[in-house]
Amino acid sequence: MNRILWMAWRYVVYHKAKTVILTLCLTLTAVLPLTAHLLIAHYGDSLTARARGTPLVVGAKGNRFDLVLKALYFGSASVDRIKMSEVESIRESGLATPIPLHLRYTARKRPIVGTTLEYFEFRGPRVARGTGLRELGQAVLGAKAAAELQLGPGDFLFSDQRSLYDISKTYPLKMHVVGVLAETGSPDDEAVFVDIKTAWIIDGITHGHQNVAQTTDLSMVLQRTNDNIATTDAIVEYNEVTLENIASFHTHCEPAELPLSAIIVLPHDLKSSTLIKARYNLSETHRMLVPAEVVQELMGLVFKVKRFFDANFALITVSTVLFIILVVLLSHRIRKREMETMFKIGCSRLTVFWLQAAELAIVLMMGLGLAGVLSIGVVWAAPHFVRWL
Amino acid sequence: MIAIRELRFSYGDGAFGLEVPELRIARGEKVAFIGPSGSGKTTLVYLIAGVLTSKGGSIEVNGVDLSGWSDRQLRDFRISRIGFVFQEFELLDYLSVRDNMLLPYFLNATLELTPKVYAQVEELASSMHLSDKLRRYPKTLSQGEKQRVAICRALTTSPDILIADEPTGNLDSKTADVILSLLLGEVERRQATLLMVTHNHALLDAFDRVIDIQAFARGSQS
Repeated sequence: MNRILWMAWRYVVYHKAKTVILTLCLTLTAVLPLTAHLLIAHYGDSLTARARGTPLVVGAKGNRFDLVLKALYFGSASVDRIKMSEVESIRESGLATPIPLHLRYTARKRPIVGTTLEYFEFRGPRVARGTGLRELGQAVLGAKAAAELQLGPGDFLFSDQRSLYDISKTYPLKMHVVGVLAETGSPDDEAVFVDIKTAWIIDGITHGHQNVAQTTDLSMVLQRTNDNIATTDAIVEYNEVTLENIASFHTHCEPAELPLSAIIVLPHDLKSSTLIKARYNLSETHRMLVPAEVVQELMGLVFKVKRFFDANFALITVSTVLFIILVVLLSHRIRKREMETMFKIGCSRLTVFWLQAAELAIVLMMGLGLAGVLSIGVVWAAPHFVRWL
Repeated sequence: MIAIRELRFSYGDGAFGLEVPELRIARGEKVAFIGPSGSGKTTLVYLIAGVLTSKGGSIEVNGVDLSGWSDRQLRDFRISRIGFVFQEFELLDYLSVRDNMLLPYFLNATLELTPKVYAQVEELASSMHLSDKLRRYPKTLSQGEKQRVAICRALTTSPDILIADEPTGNLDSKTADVILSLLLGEVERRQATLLMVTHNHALLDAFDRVIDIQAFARGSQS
């Protein structure tokens, strides 16, 4: 048998092109469905793990998938705004702890997450370098964002200008990077965290001005009385928070009116959870979602699509098998004289069969072996790939 | 010694058949089978070799009757006692020259692949002027070289009988002379019996006996 295996090996090595084509056909046929399965499984695990860890989410009425994907994964879909008064309302109910989220802006394409310190206590990311958020205008970067942007404590980062040609928009905010979070394997790794008040500065709702009472540039002062100073529109609006100007920052609206994208709600117990959900069931402007249920529904859709791909893969497998059968039959026909010569010399027809079977087995093993190696690669790369997705 | 008595053979449709009342070929004899295409030359040597099975009569090789032998016995007989040389060389393109020469040892486990066999192959290759080509593949050889490799393959097992089916059919006359001379030389040196099918009448002088197969043929394969 060893001699037959050796001859079969010589055959597959000699006919490289044929071997490579058959091997790749088998590899792709095995790897494609496996890869799709692994990636979807990882994607599902990744989505559901974060969803299971987030009890409730409040947002404006609208697409429930958008709201959950925005609040949990900082997705790019836009959601209607809600007001800060909802946070106060939940807090005052005594049923849950609200964590406000402002998710409207980006910094070098990474989502800016405006939130409060409760978010860090809830999600639990550790500061790997530098410090946490302490003042207005500061930013803490997720591990991946810091690595990709090559930024660390002491560096600066500008928020992205949303519309280059709209001069009514506020200028990008120059943020001071004060810390980098340890890697968590979650969307937090790619985010830029700022205090919720800093997010409102980027929004243009909170801002600081030059102290016109101290200004020496009289061309900006239109009228000065004992209790009022009127200035021109040329007065400088800060786009950086510094120790010198931090005191000048103020908001031109009621705190309860300040905008949010969503609120993560952490009920104190099961009863509180039921009560607070009941309250929002009656709301016409807001909705409260259980992220795990929404993600489960979303995964149901993903699995429906996967079934379609599975059917495709099954067809590809059938066509590959037929292709290999065709190649084997043609090869058998072409090699009929070779086989006949072997028989005449003194080889049994069974040995001739084993020789061809061994050739096919070697190609199968090479194809499936390569598929195995690639699958190990996919298993290794899947978490990174899913995070990239 | 080969002894054939009352041998009868026909293909499925019965349109062609061979009937050999008696034929004796002595050990070491060099016999040429001639006749037109389809007259049964190859059929007769394949019957002697056990590749085809007769429908009657007997074929004895060295006093042993082949009729009634199982396929396995016939295969073992062929691999150890008979060497084949074909018109189209029938070398395996994916094996080196050396491995082609060793092919019988790869195909049948009854033959043991010992260092002595490897030495024998080296010696054969040397006698056929192929020593420097042992690592090459058949597609890089000339027609004459391919046939020399085929002769080496046939002789590797030191057979008693060498069956050569038109071995010079694909060669030019000069190369054919060289190949025949090498073949006859080896056969004589080994005291083996040579059964050669040929159309080439110019080669017949080199044989001890020439048998016109038409004497045994009934009908025509063509």
